[in-house]
Amino acid sequence: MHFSYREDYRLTTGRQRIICALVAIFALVLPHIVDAQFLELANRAFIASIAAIALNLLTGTCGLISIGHAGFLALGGLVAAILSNLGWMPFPVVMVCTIVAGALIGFVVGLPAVRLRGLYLVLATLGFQYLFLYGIRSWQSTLSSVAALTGLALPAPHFGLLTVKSPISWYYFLVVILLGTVLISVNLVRSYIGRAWIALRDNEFVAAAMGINVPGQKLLAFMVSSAMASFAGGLLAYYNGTFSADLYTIELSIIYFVMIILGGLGSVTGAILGAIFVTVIPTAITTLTDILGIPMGLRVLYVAPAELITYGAMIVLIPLLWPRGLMSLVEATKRFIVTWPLGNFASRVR
Amino acid sequence: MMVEFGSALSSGLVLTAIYGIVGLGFVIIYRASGVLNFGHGAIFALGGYLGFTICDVTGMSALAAGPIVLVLGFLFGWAFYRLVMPSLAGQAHWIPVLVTAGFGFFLLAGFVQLFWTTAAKDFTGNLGFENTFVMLPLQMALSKIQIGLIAGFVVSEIGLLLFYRYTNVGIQMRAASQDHHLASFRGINIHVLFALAWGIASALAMVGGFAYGADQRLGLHIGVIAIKAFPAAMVGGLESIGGLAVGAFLVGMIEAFATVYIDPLLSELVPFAFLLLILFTRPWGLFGRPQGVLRV
Repeated sequence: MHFSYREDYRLTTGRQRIICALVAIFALVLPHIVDAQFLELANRAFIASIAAIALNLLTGTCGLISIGHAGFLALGGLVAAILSNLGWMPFPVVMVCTIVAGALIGFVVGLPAVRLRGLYLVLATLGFQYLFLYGIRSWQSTLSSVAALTGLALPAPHFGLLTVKSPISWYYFLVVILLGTVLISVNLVRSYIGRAWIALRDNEFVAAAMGINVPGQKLLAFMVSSAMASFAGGLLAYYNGTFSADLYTIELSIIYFVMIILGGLGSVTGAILGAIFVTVIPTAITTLTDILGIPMGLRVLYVAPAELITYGAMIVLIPLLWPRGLMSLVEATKRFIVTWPLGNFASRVR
Repeated sequence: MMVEFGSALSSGLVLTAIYGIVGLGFVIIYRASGVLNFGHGAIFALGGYLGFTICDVTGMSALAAGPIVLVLGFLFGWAFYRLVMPSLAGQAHWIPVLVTAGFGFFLLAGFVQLFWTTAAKDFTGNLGFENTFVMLPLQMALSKIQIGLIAGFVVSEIGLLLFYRYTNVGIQMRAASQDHHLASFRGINIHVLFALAWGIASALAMVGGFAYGADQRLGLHIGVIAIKAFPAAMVGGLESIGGLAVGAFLVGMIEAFATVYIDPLLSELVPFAFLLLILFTRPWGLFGRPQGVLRV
């Protein structure tokens, strides 16, 4: 409950601020109490979260579908790889360039969005995805023979005197960046632009009738989402240390969709939770095979298909059973606990 | 030089048939459920794997296994529709697209990897006939299976055109696609009809995959062919069966000629360049209707 106008327009409520503080302390302390493998997972989860938030802004908030998300990650990686290898560009400038490149290409890819309805937009973004990938693969084959196979190497990012190289330094760096991204996204959704996007998503014609510039907002949504995805792609390329086109497949685009529907469409925290969950799955499967004691020989046969089947099962089951994402299960549990032992009766009384 | 032309023409015809068979599935499913079935490619590949296994296990010839794969495909499509699609009604329009994509690229791919290997396989069983090349005029050379594929496509195309236009069930299906509610009010059981549509589409894809796999190699990569069939369906208009034949022919021929005369790697690019071209200029395809496509 908000007791004053000031409370109303603040970004976080009192209770949220306490939770954020606790999470922040936990996050700051975490790298010192866990091992390197965990940190590696955490770092990958953070980068994936940024890209997931980008997709969530486009699809969850604005309702536009783009199956070319992997293409934008690839774009960011490409720009980062080429510019960082020039040698004279400082890291922050390279990242700004990835954002600008993402926005530009996002504008181009967003143009069909203005004219085409839902499923046709999916096909247009599919076409763009394959086009990008073809271009990037052609470019990669023109590199030296080694680089053509394994990809272009990137130097470690550094600004001023700090170089980001060890998992711990990456961790803190990414936490700060993720925090900035979350702040930007939450503010965006709360602003006029965010509300316009939500109006677009819910009913485009009514939004137009209310005076919202529908084509302009759609293009803006594409530009913002692509810029953020490109930024995440640049980070990913730096983190991996190399950039190679094979990573960015249609399957990767679909996996990002899994992340956002896992957490619940339209919510920034949901995107982050979904990203963490999905990033952890391969490790979880490996740990499971450890626990079950499956011998090494069989493991090679079963782990890769097990991953695929897990992702597939999630994609198919979540829209069937929990359309609001796994967060809805959390909400349901909370409601159950709060209203116990009255259950449904209690919600009707209110 | 004539040899090149002949070879381009042959691959063009084969591509037309493949894009046609898979594209028919897309068109049928889109007309019925309004869904872009991205999982169709996996069904195409799965047909190949099922067919190969049937031949290996029972020692049947491929000719005998073909109808069995057809029936299995039909049951598969029917079951998929019944189990998955009704629960997705009422959600965002792209959720079924995502579900089918995930089903195909992940679930089916995972199962195929689990039960078969990922290595490409050649058909080692008994075909029931010699898959020799037949020399045709204009320096074309087509293997018997390829001729079978082309013939199969032509037969399915004509059969479906007649089905939709002249049979009771076909007319009911058209009614159900146009307006679910009105059709139900008239007593048409739309779920049965849509399940039928999905069944037919999957049956076609599975048999096509089996034939293609027996002719070339079988591997999960052939699922990509289905994605390349989207432009073929789009060029003709996603709702038009007749248009599909035109679209498949155009895309297939242009891709074949580009591959032979310009650059082999272009085979990846041409269908998608086509897709973007048609989406930017005439999104409803050559024979579709603008109403379902453009924003006001």
